[in-house]
Amino acid sequence: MTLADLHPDELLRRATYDRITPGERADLHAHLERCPACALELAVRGDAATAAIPSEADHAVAARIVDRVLTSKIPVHGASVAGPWRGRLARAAVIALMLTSTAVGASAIAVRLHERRATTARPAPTAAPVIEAPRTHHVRPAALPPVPEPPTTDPEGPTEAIRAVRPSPDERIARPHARPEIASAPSVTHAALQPPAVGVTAPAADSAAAAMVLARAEEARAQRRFADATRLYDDLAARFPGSREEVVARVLHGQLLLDEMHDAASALRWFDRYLAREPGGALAEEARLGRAQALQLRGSRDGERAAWEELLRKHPASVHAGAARARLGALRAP
Amino acid sequence: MTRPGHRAPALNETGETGEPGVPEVAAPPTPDPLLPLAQRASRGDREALARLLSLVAPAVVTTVRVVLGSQGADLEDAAQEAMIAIADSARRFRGESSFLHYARRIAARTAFSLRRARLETARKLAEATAAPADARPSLEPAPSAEVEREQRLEAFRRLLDQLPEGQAESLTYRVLLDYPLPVIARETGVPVNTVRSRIRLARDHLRECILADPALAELLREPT
Repeated sequence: MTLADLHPDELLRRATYDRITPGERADLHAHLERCPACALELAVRGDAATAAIPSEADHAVAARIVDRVLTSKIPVHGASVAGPWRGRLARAAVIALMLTSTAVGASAIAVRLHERRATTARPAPTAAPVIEAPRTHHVRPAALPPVPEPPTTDPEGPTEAIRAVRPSPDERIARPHARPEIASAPSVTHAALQPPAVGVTAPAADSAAAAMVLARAEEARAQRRFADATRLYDDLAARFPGSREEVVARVLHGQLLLDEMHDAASALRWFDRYLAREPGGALAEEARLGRAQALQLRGSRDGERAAWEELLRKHPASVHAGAARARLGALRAP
Repeated sequence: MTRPGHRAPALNETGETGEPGVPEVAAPPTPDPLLPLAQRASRGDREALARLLSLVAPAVVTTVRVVLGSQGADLEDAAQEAMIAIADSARRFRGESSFLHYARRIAARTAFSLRRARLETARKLAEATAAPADARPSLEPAPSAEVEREQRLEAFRRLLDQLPEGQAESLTYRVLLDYPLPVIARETGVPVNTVRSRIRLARDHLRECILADPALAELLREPT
């Protein structure tokens, strides 16, 4: 039996989510060169995962269908589901959907922020003479591939976005970052999503719609569709400026641009916009960390030094304090 | 609207039509946020049922679209039939899987049923007119990545249509819906090793099809 006969089912699945080791990737590519069926399948798997994310059009179709089912005289459980409460229910259902999206989106964001914090605060692996700044994508072990979350097609998950923060049932590969402390993480994001004492109070419908856009952006990001995620963050900023979701997304967008797209200049603008709005906000520490990292990436030593010093001054108990001091020491060295 | 004769079968919670001996799905490791609504709906709470349907509807639409393709009215018809089947099956939900998973399985089954029915109709029409249906995808230049993606998906679906039903169903679950093998085994009512065998045979068949038709290789281009 040749390699082409042994279609690597599990590798194909994990490759869809970029969860294979370099060695496995080499084996898979060798197979794909001889097996166009698996090559097509790999492409189609990605296509299907993307197509499984509900678009605005899908939501519109879904709303029409629900409306038809609720208004029809189709017997369900022996009685029609239509009734005088239908209009109220339809509105309540939309709000419930939006709130669910907000909650799951917040969970996903919280997990990512927590991972970023944990990774950033991780001590340098060796006492190298040149101290690396705590950039997430710099401290990740080179042998480990990036680990996007599984797509929404995982059939075991309870909701779209909740599934995006836990492994699928037949996942065999260990995650590079354990997540035992996830329970403590949501506090950051949940706090960030709470309205500030003084701020814009968006109408409930707008807030729910903004939450939906934010959840979709986070889904796109989890699936490593970074261009889509950026477009959705921009859409959020354009349509819902000043909403809680939009303000929080300034930091998330900055992190995406910095960590995944290495666009320090744009990332810096988003971090600055967040801090201009909420200098003492729940994500201010993350924004200041992002600023320092972005300035480092741009090679602005003076700016970077000032950013680290500001981080230490404003957040002396920060989990990034040690890394900040180490980086400052390196910057001061001749 | 609902078309007569294509009503999806009422399913119990594990997505079965009553066949004995098929293992249950393991409970999800995280709490199902839809469980309270589903439990209320199963007790006849109409408001809970309405909310439940609204919450799962987008996932139902995408599941149907992935299996069936973006066929406008067909898509809405199929999704609506799935929603009716879900509403009708809600009372049998026992919380052994997430409700969303339950709803998606029903949606997938409904879409399979409709796709098979549509295929059968097309075959009969082709026989009657002696004009065989073109199994090749359109290879017109794709104006966008989204269109290219849908073209590739549709080409894959058409290749699936050439397979025996068991193979096509297994590969659809595995590739388009990303189901684990044990779940596919339960869905199709066969042992896991049979699923593996079906999927392997299906891939072998697809490989032969692609090797015999260079035009299909065009679909392996990197997305623009």
